Amino acid sequence: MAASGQEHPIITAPDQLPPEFVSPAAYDKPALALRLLREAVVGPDRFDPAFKEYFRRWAYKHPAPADFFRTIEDGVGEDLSWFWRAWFYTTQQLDQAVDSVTAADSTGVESQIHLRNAGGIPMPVELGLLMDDGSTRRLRLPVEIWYRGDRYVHEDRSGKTLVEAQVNPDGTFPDAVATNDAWKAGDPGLERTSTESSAGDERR
Amino acid sequence: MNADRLAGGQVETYVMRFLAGLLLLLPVSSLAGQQPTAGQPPDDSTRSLGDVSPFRRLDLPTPNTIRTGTGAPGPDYWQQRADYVIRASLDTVAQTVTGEERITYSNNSPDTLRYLWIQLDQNLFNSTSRGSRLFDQDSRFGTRGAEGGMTLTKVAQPALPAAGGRAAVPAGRLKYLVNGTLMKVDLARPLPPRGSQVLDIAWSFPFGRNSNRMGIELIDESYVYEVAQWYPRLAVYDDVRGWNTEQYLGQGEFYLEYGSFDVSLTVPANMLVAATGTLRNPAQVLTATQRARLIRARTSDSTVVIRGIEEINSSASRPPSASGTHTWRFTADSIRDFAWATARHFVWDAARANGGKTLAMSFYPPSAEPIWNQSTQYVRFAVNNYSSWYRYPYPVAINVNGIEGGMEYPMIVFCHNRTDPAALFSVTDHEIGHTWFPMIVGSNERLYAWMDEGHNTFMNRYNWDKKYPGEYNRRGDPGLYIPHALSGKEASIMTPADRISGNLSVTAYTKPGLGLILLRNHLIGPERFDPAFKQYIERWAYKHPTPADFFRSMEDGVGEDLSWFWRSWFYTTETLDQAVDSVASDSGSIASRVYLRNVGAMPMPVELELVMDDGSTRQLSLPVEVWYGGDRYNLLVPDAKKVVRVTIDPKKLYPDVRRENNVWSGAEKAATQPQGNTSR
Repeated sequence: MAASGQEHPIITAPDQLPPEFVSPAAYDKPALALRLLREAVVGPDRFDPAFKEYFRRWAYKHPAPADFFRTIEDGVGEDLSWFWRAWFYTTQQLDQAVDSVTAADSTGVESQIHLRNAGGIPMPVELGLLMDDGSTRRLRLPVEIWYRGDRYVHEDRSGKTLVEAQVNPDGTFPDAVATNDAWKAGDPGLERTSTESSAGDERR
Repeated sequence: MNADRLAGGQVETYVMRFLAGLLLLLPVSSLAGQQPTAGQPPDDSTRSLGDVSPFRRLDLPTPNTIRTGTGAPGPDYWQQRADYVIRASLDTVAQTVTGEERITYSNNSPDTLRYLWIQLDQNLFNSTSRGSRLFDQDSRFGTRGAEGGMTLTKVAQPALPAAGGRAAVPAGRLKYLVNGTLMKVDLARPLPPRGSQVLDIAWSFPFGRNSNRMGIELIDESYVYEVAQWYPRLAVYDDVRGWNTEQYLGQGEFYLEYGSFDVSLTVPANMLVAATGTLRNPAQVLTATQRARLIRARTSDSTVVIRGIEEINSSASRPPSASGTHTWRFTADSIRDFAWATARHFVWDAARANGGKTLAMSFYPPSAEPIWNQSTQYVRFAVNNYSSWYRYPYPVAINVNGIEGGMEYPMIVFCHNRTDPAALFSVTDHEIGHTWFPMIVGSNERLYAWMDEGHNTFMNRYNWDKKYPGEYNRRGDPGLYIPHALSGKEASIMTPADRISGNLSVTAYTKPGLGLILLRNHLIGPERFDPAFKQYIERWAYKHPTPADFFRSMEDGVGEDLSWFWRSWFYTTETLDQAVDSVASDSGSIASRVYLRNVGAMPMPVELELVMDDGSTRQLSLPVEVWYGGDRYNLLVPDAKKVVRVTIDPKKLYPDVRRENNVWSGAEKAATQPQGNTSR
């Protein structure tokens, strides 16, 4: 639905949605957003008490969206403006990409992994690395890496040569474009660098 | 429309009416392109947008009885209070601090709290922290090699008696959850309004190799320890945002509750301690000689050496201790933080400041002595001069030399420079200046760096001029701001520090400082600005103002809606670019028109110098309201002498980013037509 170009933001009132969009906009996407928030952004140990606190505060009362957003932030201890805005107020997509991998120094063992937030939604990045000795590493980069724009360079200083780098290796996130998720040794260093203009100064 | 525009000018009304008629006699060609011709359809492009003028009221949060429309705290203003009793010791072998604290947290909010958020800032200094992913590992805010962080050994509360229908709760451990540099503590019993909660927390942390705003330095064969962000402390709960739980990521500083501190620091007996607050047990930790010298310093304007460079290796310069340690006890009230420093080989001097109310002091290792022997005088200079805004309220003001380049804490600052007296003055003056912002006026630095750095830079400019008259003054220097504004990489002043990728020093220091300097010196004038600025400090001393409170309080004090200034200067990256498009004056006429344009989007008053054909000059100051009608203004000059040269802002009072278009010269530009009629 997101890829259809016909999506409506979650915050749209149901009567203002075409009937075929009620299910995705009012059911599926907000449920997916909360699941992502719980499982992949703040973790159940912080999410669950906050979600329970929302029930405790608002049972038999009339909460507005702001009351929900604020209660969750109060409980998880985090300003989630970026999350609510992207998932609930817009139809931005999640599209994280590995643009290229370059050598950070002449020895070739320190690599710079050039990541890009190609869609509009900022999210944490899960990064899977495969080294030339067959070992693998999983890294989790916080959403704050997108504070300064849509590009981020992760330096790998493991001392091993990188042969593969992939974002979202476990399919945790609903990344809309899978073809730009991985880099493999032998790929031209800058092959994947987008020529699209950067939205880097758009503060989200 | 002509008349409307002229009404904003400097000319008497009857003269304008008379001349407006005469001007019709000017050739039409000289006015072409200046005004829409009659009968042209109105421009519809902005009709649906409502008021888009740069002068429309700035949308600030709706005032209420907590924060009023005048920018003052209202009758229902509240803030939380956190009182700390801390016992800590320094292990100089393992290079760790171990501490225990009892926090008494007073809930002055109207809300019942079921959990508290506590800041564990030391958790930044770890290669797995969020901040470590955000800042270059080798930069000032990088954390390479730091595998620190707080180890919590106790999070508990004493027994709570039954009260107000609520059951008693036995003493015990509290459930907590650490998230980066924050910790959520679930209370055993909800904390009601006007209630207080006691927390007992024990912790330790190591000094990392690259811990910013604090840390250790090996100098002259001993370590200087600068200790800050060192104890678990309450996050701020306020009426604006509830819990303020921004992570400590590195570039963004602090937001802290006010309260009292009673701190006992145990260090090896041969070390001296400098700390926030009043030393309560000098008889135990100082020699009789040092105590006598301190008494002398209290009445001395010149610096008195408390422990001289030749005494640092003398055991007689430290009181004996059977245990091998001394415990230094400091207390302080109405402060939002506590920091300390210690070293075996500190040279120590002092002098009175603030009319004898304050002892200015410096602590430094021997190799800093050649220029640090002036440090205490720099501290005095800052304390005394800045007290003209609001009197320095604390008993001590201390400068410490160690690893940290320049960092402020209540009553104590850390400065590194050991080579350049002027640079040492500058950093000392700046860090002591932070006493006023954010130590007295407790804004949220993590969200609004400009509210302390900008305000401080503003004050610093005048102190530098006083100390080094006529010398280059970088505080609020337009020459630092303009290139950055033109770089295309500028972030608005309102951007939180951790999200600024460009030049933090321009965005959080130079530009907001320059903004206040422009306001004071040119837009408002000191006679209206100074009382308003003092009133802002008085209103918000030991409180938590937001940007809206500052803007409103200043407007209240100077008696002027400054929406246009706050919006343009603080919320956007618009630039100031004023231009003279052309001048129309023909032989035989008795007036000229000067066509001005606001090419950049930033409105500002216009300073003009006119040169007439007889060589005489005239200086004009046009108020910012000349731009009320749009980005064009034509100034009527009712004079039979022809205008042959026009210069905008000849004294360069304003940071115009393009000076090329500031000058019109009849000789050079006789044939030049006005540029395209683009209006906003």
